[in-house]
Amino acid sequence: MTVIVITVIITALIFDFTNGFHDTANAMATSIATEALRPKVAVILAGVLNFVGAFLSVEVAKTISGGLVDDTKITPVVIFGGLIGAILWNLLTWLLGIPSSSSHALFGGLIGATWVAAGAGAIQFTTVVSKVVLPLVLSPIVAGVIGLAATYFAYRITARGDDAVVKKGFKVSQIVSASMVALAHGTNDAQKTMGIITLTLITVGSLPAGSGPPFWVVFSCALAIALGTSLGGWRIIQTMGKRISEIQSPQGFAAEASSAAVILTSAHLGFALSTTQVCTGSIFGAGAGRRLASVQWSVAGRMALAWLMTLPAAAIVGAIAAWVAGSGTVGTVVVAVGGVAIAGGIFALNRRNAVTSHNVNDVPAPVPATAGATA
Amino acid sequence: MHIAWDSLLIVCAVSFAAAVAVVVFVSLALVALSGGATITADGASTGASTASTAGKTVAGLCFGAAGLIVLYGLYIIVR
Repeated sequence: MTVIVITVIITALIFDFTNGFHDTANAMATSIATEALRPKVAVILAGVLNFVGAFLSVEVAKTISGGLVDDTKITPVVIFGGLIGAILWNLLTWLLGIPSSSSHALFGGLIGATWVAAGAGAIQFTTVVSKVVLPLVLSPIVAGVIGLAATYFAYRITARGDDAVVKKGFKVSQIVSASMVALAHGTNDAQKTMGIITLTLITVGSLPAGSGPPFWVVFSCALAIALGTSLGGWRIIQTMGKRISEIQSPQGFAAEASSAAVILTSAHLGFALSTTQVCTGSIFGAGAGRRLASVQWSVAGRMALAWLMTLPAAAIVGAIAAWVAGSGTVGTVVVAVGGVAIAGGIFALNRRNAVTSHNVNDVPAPVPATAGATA
Repeated sequence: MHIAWDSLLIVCAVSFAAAVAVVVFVSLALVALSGGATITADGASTGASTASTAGKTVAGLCFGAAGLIVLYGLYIIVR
């Protein structure tokens, strides 16, 4: 195995790790916010379920880019550049506490790297629209509407119920719904990295064409995403659990049930949607379902901006990384060292105002408006 | 550019039905369990422990229905 292939494998596993802690919030933010689960218990549960989920479905994609770029132009250098773009965007948005799609970051990185290596003609722009732009717009709206409806029904039906019974019942139910989302995430996201590593090995002839992922690839990807998930992306958990709206247990349950339903249905019908965008939309919908005016719509604006920037930003970094790494082994080393340095800087910035399991819920409740209440 | 609008509509409809159904069933179950709850002298709720037999039966059926939907979801994950 060449240096670049080993570098790609290590970088892919690092991406998988960042994917893990970036997406912990999707499953567990509401359960932590409502104290249905203690923070560390929640992230460990999510880690275990991601690990299990990764083994449940090892049918990886037949192409690295999902049709976004001409796969005949993808080389290990292109993959490496794309992964660097995706990792750095994941780390930046984590530092800013913004949930964003790791899948779109990877697509963006690959697009940028492929553009540098093979020109714009290798990019399938119509597929970018249908597989990235359209889901980006539609998935949070669909999930938000469903979350809103589910929350409305939850409050209307339980209005005459005993508060203590209802609250406890929804907290227990949240654990089930959150676990479903975590399991679904493990079956979907670890496969991206399995596919990248497997297809890289096929490209360099280490595996025959059409091979499935070897066990060591499955295990290492499962472990990487599980470890990342268990670390807990506390900044993003805080944003999704506390900064969108003051979430109560009925809302948390409705949001996670909506997310699980949309994610599983779309996966079943072959319609790829971002787990992050779906879960974020569900939480906004659940917030609006109880009281429209208590939702921090300014947070939605920041997220939307970050989502729109994900593809181009990761593409730019991916392009730069691929251009430098394409010069040879020295270039690859320069990019790797540079990536580690930037990542180290981001982690150092995080430590200045760290969000941990101890203070993740320490956010002042958004001030609700006195008018415009619903449900 | 081909967009599978029919698949998208199916995703919307099925997701809506599944999510709302689960939430409705769980909500009904919790209301059924609340049926016999009373407030004791110290302000605590007796909660589900005193729910009537009928209430517990209804709750069981509702939780069961929600559970079936969840199990089907697990089946989709595992398949």
